[in-house]
Amino acid sequence: MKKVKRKSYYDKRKLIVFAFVLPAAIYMFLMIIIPIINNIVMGFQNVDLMNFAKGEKKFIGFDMYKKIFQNSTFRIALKNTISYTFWCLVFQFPLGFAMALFFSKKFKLSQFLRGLTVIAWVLPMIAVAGVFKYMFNGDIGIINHLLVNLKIIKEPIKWLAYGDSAMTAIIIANIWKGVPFNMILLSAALTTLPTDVFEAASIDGANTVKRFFYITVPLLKPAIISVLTLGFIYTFKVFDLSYVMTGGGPGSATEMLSTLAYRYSFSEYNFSQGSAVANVLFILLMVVGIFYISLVNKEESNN
Amino acid sequence: MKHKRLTEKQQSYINMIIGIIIIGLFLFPLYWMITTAIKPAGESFKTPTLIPKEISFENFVFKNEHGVTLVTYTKNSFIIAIGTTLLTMLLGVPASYGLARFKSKFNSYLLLIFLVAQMMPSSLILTPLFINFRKLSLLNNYLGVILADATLTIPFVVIILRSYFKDVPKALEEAALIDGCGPLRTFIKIMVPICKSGFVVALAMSSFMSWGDMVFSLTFLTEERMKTLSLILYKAMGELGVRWEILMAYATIVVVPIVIIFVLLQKQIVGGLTEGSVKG
Repeated sequence: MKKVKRKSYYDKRKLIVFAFVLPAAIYMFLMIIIPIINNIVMGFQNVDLMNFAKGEKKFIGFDMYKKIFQNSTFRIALKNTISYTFWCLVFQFPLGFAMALFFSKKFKLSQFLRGLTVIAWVLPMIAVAGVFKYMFNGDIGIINHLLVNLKIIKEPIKWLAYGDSAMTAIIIANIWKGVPFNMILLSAALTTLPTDVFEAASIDGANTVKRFFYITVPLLKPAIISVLTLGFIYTFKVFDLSYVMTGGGPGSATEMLSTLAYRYSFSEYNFSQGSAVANVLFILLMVVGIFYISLVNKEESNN
Repeated sequence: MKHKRLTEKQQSYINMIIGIIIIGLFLFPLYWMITTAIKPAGESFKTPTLIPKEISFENFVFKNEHGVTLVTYTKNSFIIAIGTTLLTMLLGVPASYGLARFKSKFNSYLLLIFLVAQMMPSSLILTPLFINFRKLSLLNNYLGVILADATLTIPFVVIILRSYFKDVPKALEEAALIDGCGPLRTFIKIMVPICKSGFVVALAMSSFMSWGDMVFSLTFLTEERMKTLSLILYKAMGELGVRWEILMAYATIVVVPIVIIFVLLQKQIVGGLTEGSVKG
């Protein structure tokens, strides 16, 4: 008697639970899956402002991809996106890690102060881009003012007017926003470390540096991998910073794949060309993304 | 050797002071934005003053040439942020619960879609959405931006909340269900209180993300009276050029609501983000 009741209870539950996920599933289908398919199809067509209104859609195979890969702006944007992501990660990961280690010490206000940095991570990108553009301003920017006063530079630099310095400015703005993200994920992992291992090691005479490289880093490996992977993904697709701080300029010096896709679609109204660039960006992201998903799945099956 | 002589308490104070200095330097850009906004127009042009000599709110009353006041932009931002947050919670909360509690082929595909959506660049769906929204007359429409912003917030919320729900022992709910609580009441009585900081993060982050979005409003809102604060901040950077004190006033209006909510709920937000991330 009891068994029968239990079974029907679970059958009923199956339906209820399906009802729970269904609305979101429909939303995701209409707002994510269909648009992604549309975008992939558009990359094989030739849709622009001229034939868009008429509804003529000619399939042109891989011609659009041939066209973008032959385009030097696209190659520059690809190179920029890669080097931008590389330099952001090279700085924001160690900085975030160092801050996580420092704030994992038990002292007054440590939790509160660590929490405050997260504010940088939750602020809108547009506001961050705005204030960094102001701080890097060549005439009245505080950064030039500081560097001149500290005698690090003789003349104010027009940061956003030259390719390399403009890229540096954007990278610094992104690092500012990325450090708390790295720090908070690594802090969380640090709290899970067993303290007795460290005590044993220090009794055995291992110094701080040794303990860090031989105990902390190996134990944190899963967290480090997921921080770097997520950091790569968030940095690689960045749009607002370059679009707002430099508009991709000077020339194409800070053009990224995401800003180029936007420019093709919404400044030049070559919708298919914009779609093709976005598809390339997506494929590159998914190379790392699949790695991340497999990490999540592995954790899932462990639970 | 010198360190050994410090008592634990002294070391704690020294660390605290170092910590305060680090955070002070780190948050300088935010300080600089807000102080520039409240300095009189002239003060930002001369040698920069670290502490405002005079406080003035004249930068906030500036009207732009479009004849639309900041009140309208702020109202638009609020409508979009509240709308997106409601939609996100309405769809995201049940979905994360379902995904946490029920294993099936369908659900694992759905989870995969959420993960992919969290990783994809907005530019991937931007052009198709623009074309589809144009057909459905969702351009220059709050609903269009809300639907688009939710592509950022729903995956984020589902992934965080799911990990919270997963950690609540099933036995708790089953006990309530057997005691005669309906599924909805069980959810409200059991899950909501246990996963409180998860809900706080979900609410806070979806409102922050939609409040600060620029890409979708830039693409879908062309009529001046529909534009949002963050979009107008971007536009003003082109139109006002060197009037940095006014631009920083705009930026301040964009960040202040977030800063206030963040400081009030810091414990839950940071705790929720960390826990959600540890659980993956």
